[in-house]
Amino acid sequence: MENLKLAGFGKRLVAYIIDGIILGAAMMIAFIPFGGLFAFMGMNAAQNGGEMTDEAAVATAAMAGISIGAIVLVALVVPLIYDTFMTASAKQGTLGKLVMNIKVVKETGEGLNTQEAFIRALVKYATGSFCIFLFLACLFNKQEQNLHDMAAKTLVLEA
Amino acid sequence: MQKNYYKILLAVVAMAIIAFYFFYNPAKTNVGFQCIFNKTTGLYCPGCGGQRAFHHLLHGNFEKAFEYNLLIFLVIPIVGIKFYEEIFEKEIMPQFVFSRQFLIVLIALLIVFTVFRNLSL
Repeated sequence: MENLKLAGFGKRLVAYIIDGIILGAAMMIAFIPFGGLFAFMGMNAAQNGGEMTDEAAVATAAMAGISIGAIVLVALVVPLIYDTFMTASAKQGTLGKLVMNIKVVKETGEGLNTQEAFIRALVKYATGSFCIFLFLACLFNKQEQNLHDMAAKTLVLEA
Repeated sequence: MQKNYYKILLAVVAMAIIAFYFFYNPAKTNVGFQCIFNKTTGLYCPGCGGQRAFHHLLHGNFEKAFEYNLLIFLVIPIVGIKFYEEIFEKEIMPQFVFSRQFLIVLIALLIVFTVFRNLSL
């Protein structure tokens, strides 16, 4: 445990930004089919002289509701799944952390299992969506632990 | 080389963030990052107004920045010191930052600030 080096705030911030870009791009690609479906529905209405039948209006509204629900669900769940399984994998970190050459370990030095990674991802997601300032918690202790690191008893080290 | 490329990346990211907030006014355009907590509950978290405050700080309007979020005057120096430490590999962060008393004062300030901004607004 002696010559292990903490990753530092800057590297973690850059890794977080890279993760955000990757997730954002992935979600944009995943939502393209929804746009296509709506385009087809609009074409259908346009062929009838711009007027929708009642059935078509109901179908469009139902489709809109379902797809907005799906989008919200995906936006909530995908970051959690991504973070959990990437951190629990042999790489010990998300893609952003791989790029920055850092990894997540437990305080004992081992890798995380899926359960601990899930706790870490959940607390990370909750602090991120409550207030972004809470990520600055790692500046106020010598082990550079954020709230999610304290919850899962982990450290972020240089790989 | 391996070490230097990340320092360059860090400096570029820091400058990109500053340039972004210099030209982007969160109060006028609606493009940037929205606060999920504020959107769902209508309450203000300690960080709300931080982007607007930073924008005005970069333009030199200290009073406006103070109005939007006074914590920005605490956050910017600490994050700045941290970035400096990592890029130049010198430890200049004052040690009292890591003490328990400082942390308690900080948390108390955070809670009081959050409660009061939700009462008055």
